[in-house]
Amino acid sequence: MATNKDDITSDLDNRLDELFGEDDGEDSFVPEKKEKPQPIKQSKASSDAKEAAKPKQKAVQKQQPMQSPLENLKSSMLEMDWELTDEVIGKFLSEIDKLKTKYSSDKMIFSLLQLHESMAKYIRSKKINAHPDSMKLVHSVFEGLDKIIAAPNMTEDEKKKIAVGELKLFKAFKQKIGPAVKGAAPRIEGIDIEAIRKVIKAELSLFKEELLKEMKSMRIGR
Amino acid sequence: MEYTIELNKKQFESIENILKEELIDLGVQTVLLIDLAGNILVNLDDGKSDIDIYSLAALAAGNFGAVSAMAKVIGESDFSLLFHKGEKESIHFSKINEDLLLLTIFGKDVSLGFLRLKTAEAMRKILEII
Amino acid sequence: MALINPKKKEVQVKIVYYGPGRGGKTTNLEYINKKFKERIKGEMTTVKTYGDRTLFFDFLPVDIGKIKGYDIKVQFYTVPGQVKYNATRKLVLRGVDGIVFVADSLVVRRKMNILSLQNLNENLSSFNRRIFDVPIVLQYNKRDMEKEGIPLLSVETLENDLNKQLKAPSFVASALTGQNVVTTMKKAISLTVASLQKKLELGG
Repeated sequence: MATNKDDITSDLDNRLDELFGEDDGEDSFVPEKKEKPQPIKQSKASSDAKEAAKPKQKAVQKQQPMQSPLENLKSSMLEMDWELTDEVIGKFLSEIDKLKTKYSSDKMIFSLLQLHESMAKYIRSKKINAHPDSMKLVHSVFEGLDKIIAAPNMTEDEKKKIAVGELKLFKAFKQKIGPAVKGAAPRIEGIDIEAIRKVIKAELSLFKEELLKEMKSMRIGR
Repeated sequence: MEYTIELNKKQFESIENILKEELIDLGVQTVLLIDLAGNILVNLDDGKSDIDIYSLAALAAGNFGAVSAMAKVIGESDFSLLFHKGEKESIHFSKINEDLLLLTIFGKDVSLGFLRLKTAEAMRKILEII
Repeated sequence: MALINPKKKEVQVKIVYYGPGRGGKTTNLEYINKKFKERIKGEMTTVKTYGDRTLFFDFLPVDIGKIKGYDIKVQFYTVPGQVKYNATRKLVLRGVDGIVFVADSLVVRRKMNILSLQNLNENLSSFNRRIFDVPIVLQYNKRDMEKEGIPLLSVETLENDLNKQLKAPSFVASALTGQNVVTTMKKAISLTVASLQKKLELGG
């Protein structure tokens, strides 16, 4: 053991000499030029703090003059960004319910709300195994809703365009979480993926149906 | 006696696998498992990262200690969410046990809500191993 | 304690520069960083308040390379010396593997040195460690001030004040000119890594 210890020490000392050999008169008492050592990588706390303090959330930037009817929905959606608990998602869903009652006569808005509802239910049931893009889609649907509600004079055609756009995203998302992409889902036992898919499928077909009906009736109306 | 972290090869491997499955696959940029002395136990990244992880670990350990002390000053035993939001990248801290800290660096594409679920899951699995 | 990663064959060692405020701990690291910037590849990080006082700590990672098959990474830290920052000092001291105690040779700082060493002892005890069990090197800094006519403590006095029981290796030094800065550091690394010898054999 003793020899071994000497071994490591001499190995180490050689290495240290290699690394930290001082060519210019090692450790002499001759004073060097008294340069003040330059301050190295300082932490730029103060200047960075200003940057960080700027509000960056997209949703917050688009402030409307009057309080939007979507205010509560937005805040519970942002809360979901921070924390995906049953309580937070439940808040979001109950806000959807309120809005569904309020906008029951506006088919486009109603359909988008339904889309939101299916997404939230999907996330609630899958939690950790939900697709990482799910929250992106929730945001996107919200933006669609927000656009429509913020412009009361929007024509039905314009509204339809937005709704169809979101539906397309939803379809693409469904493809992603479908059987082709296994993702994290099958890893956990005890969760009935098929049942969840069924729920989404049902919601989706309902949405499609309504959208089609709506489009037909508009065509007839013209 | 001061806690010392001694993990064997197999434990290191299992932890790396957990962190890869739960976090790297979610799209985070870098994951660091560090101890509160500032040592790095595990570091993983998405292959596109080029950060000075040793300085980061030293500062994170110090920062975490300071924040815990702040919690005690205001009568909290700990803060449950430690998160720094940047314009492009953000850092999330989670305390695994008295000595270990999990640092996650992630971009705008990752939702914090999901990340928190995933780190909680990763933590649960790591605690089963160590 | 040092972190040994048998998978990566890597050892991380933490060496802390301790001592009274304005004693030259940061200057020690700055000298090393400046002098060996090319060779050590690490970057020095410092968290300072105004007036260049260390608020939190300085940090300098140094890659020693492979010794006995292990990649040795040394992390140097300094603690804030000011008395009021004891909480921070404790944080930095957590998991320490080796210590460089930087004492101030100025006559007027005699008491501060003694108090700081006592404080180190207390802080180590709070982690259930004994100062005698941690590899430690003493450095009597600011010897260059003598030429400016400033009264300095004699080496005998310093040894008697600080090293009577410890019996640790000690060096007179000047962090500003670089005198014995590197010698101190090398000794600290050497003692610290040698103290890990047993663990490395088991781990390998």
